[in-house]
Amino acid sequence: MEFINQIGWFIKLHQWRYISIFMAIVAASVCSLIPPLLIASLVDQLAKSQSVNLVDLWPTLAQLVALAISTYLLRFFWRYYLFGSALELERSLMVQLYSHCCRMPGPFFQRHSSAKLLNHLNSDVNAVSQGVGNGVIFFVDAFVMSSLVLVVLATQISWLLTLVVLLPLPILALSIKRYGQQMQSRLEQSQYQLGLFYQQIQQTVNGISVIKGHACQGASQQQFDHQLAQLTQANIDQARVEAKYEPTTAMVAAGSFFLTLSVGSVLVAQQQITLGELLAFNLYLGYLIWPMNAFGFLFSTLTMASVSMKRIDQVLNDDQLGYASQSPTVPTQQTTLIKLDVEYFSHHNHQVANEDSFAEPDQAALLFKDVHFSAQRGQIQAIVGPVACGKSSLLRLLLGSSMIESVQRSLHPDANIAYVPQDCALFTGTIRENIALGAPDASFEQIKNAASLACLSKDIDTFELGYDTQVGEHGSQLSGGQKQRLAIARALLTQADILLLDDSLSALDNATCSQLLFNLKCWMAGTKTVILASSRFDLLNHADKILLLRPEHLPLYLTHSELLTRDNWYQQQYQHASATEGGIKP
Amino acid sequence: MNTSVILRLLKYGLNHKAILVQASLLLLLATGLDMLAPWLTMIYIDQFVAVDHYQVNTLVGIAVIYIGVIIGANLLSYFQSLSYFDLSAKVIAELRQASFQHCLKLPMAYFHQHSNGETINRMTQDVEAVRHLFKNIIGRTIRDIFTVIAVIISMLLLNVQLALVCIAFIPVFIAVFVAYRHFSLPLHRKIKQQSAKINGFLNESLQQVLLLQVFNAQPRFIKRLNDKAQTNIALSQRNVTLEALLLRPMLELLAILMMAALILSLGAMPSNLLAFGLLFAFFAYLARFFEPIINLMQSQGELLQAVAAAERVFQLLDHDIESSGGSLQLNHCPTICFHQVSFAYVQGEPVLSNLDLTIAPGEFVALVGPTGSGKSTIAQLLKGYYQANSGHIQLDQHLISHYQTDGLRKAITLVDQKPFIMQASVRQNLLLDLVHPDDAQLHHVLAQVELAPWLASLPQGLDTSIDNNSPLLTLGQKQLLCFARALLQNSSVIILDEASASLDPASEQAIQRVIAQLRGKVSLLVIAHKLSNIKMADKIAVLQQGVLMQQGKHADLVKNKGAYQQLLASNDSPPSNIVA
Repeated sequence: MEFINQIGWFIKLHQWRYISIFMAIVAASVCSLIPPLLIASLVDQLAKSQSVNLVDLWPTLAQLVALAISTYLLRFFWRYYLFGSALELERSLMVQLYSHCCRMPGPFFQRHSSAKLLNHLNSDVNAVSQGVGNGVIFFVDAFVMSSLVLVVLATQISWLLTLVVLLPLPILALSIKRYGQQMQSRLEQSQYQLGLFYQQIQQTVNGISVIKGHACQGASQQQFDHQLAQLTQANIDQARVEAKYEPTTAMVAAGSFFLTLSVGSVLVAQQQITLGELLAFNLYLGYLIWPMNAFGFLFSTLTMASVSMKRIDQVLNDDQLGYASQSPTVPTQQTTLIKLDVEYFSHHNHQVANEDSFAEPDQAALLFKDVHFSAQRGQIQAIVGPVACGKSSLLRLLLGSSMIESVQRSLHPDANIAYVPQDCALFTGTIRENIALGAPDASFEQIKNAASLACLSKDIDTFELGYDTQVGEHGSQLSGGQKQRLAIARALLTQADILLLDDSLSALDNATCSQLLFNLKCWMAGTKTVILASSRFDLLNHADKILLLRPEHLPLYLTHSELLTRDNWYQQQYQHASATEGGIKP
Repeated sequence: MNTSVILRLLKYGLNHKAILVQASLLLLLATGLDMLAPWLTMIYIDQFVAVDHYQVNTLVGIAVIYIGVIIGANLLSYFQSLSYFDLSAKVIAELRQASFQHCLKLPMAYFHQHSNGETINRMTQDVEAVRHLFKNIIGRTIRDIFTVIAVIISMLLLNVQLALVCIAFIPVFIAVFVAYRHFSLPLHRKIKQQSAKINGFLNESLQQVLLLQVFNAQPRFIKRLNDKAQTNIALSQRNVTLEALLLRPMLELLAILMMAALILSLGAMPSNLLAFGLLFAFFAYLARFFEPIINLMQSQGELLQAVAAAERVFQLLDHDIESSGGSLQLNHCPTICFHQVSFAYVQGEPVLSNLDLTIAPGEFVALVGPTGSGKSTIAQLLKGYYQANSGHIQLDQHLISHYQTDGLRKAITLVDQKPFIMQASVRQNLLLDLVHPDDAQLHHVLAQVELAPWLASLPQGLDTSIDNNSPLLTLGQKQLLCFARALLQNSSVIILDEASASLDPASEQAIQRVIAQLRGKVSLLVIAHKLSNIKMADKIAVLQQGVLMQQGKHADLVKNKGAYQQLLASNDSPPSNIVA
């Protein structure tokens, strides 16, 4: 019954619809209860007269047909609307859950893997929808139908017999309650195992290139076998309880039947009821079998729906925005677009960014500290350093997607940020749709312009479908360089003032790279800023200022020429890069 | 068509004959026993109640038999459910296992053509729907059909005329079933397709939420999901209408009409034949007749939905798997020889044309050329992901197809341009399915690719859990890690596909050192973007639009006017020359 509380808001929202559905159901049930009474009186009539006149039958038959048609119409009506609302709930829950995910910062997705979320969005949402669809039917059949039958029995035939029928019912209620409790924990267990199992499959399919590439199917197979064995066991455990429902209800129904027949024949012998009435009574008992089954179904459906709703709620209630919800301060200087002061940032902060309060600094996990970064209009700035020095993390701090207490971020109030992530993050759809991701209202001219700024238009022209070429899942149909330029075009179209590039020029050849840098400078027009995290040292002489991050060294924040003279490591790297690149010039 | 799907599912049951026989026997016994109860009622009413004559001994006897029958029938049906549920758990485990194993054997082309989300959906949601089908629907359907048949037989034994009235209605029920199926199945297929689309959309966008947030595209993506869900609702609503028209409400309609028909035939019956006991028993059977039919109708919708899902699972299972290759093992460094090889992913769009290329054992060969020149395709062919359309590839005079595929792939390692990191510990990611290397060797290899400082920074060292989206790893580190993987595999051929593309100079130098160190020990095939890294290669092959333009040493190639010179000119003019 917990489920009613969980989903009450939806029923309240559509209360008139549910009220009319409910009334239709009651009316339909009443209609279907009349035929046995008609039959009972007919049988008694037959018994009395000993001869049958076909003409006497017509009124009864006409009544039956009229009842049949009205029952049909009523049932059609309420089913149509009832399942319509269940579908509506399914959609609204799915959208609600998805919207929630869209709102949450990075660490949320470390707690809830996308496989897990996908499982919530599919099976759990579906189970909840079953709860308000089939659940309502089972509820009506179990409670409304059965109480109507009992009312008819008590008033029309015999209240004593009705009481006798009710005798075994507490047994039913008690056992179903017990099964329900057993079911709950086993269901949670099997849902949990199913989630793990799905994660395993998702991992395998997404990692198929590694698995096939190294022919290491054996390892994933082993893990899979392990997961599968546990899931199968959980399924069997759950089925052990499920198998009890039907025999129990059938047994109770048969018990009721046995009791009524015994007591009923005594009543017939005492001439308190007629044989026709006893027959009608038994017909009604037949009507009770399905409601009793429905009683069992109702509990298993509601339990499943409730468990699923709980799982969904867990995700929805996980809404710690933490520091991500804090708006940045405004920089003191007018020309400063963005400013970042980092006291301390560690690997650990990745996991808990936005949430935990500032934990004790852990020296082993330190990524960088004492960084003071600020970018003015018209500047190109670079962040460089060896792999894993924290370039990407710093960009994400600038972006504001992960925030911790030890970081102070200032942003010009009118400034917008565009971002090109390392993995490009393209979406299934056409090239045009991908470029226009951040500016849906952009004209085709603007889209083409952005593509040519990003040096992508020549590539697109070679495609048969041009801008309508499908890029595939995550852009799988494009080469690495094409993806990077597409992601840059997408960022340029947003007319942001700050462009963050996370190693986005790595897969480009030098000619394209030069052209792109040139185009970027035109695009900046002296009023915007580009911040580039890069491992290409040959590009650094274009940067106005460079932040050099090195593990176990204090960060250096200087110009290219200053760094050349002040830092040996930087000098080496730069010379190596320019020697290998420029040295073989014809 | 949907019967064939169900038959195919049932065939899985045949693999567990003992349980199957047990379940069927229990089902027969339980159904048969259940049919006795109304007979006992009839005897009781006709012999005692109607004549108002009670004999205690016989009464107690009948009561005991009745209770015995009820308890026995239900116990049997409980055990029947248990063994059927066991059967279905086994069958579904088998199906899950089969789809997983099959998925691992599918050719790489399948994964290039189908989105991962869709494949995942087939293996998870669709298989789950099949589980529901097998466990809840098929089992109950078989039982219901048994019950209906048993009820009809009992009715015929009881009173032929009344039974015939009931039997006359059966074609009507069947007609309704058939009509419903006819309209509903195509609808269910569409619904499944639409939900697969929604799943693909969710799978992709949930992995890239940060980007949606940066571009402020969440409202539009939410709207897109909403639109897709609306389409799905519209389809499902049509199905709800069908169900409401033809299933449960229709059954109620028919049930009442059937009663009317029975009354008519009662009226036509000579009344001396009309015993109350008979009526009691008959109506008891009637209730037992409707109950399974209600169930059958109730499960129609689910049945079709599940059948549509099962079809999708079987489509996956029926997709051709890649061949496991021949019997030859590749356990040394081979001479690789491309002989007039042509290849196209899509017919009519050749990617490689008549390629001739030889890679001697231990040679360092570089492939260069503009994007789309077919460099990466050469790697795909060598890994055995695709087969040449014409010409052939030989390893030591033997066709590549004569080698065992798994052995080939272990021997030829590809360090991808978009490496994938499994969700596992660093150790597992390095070892994959290797067992023997000890941690010392892992540390040694990581030191070789200069990942030792990174490893030291990890909170749990080799046991630190990483995954493809882990912030603990940059793209450059992923590639270095893949390089370490290749070293551990002891491959005799290593292909680097743009592996140096996004590494910082330090890592790039590290790889150059590793290459220098491996040179001569293994064959190296480097697909390069930066010409500077491959100047020292034994052979440089220049490709353009799938055609081998030139090959030779750097020193020789620079002297000739040709594709390599052009490439040098466009590639290596330093950026500073152009930027204003």
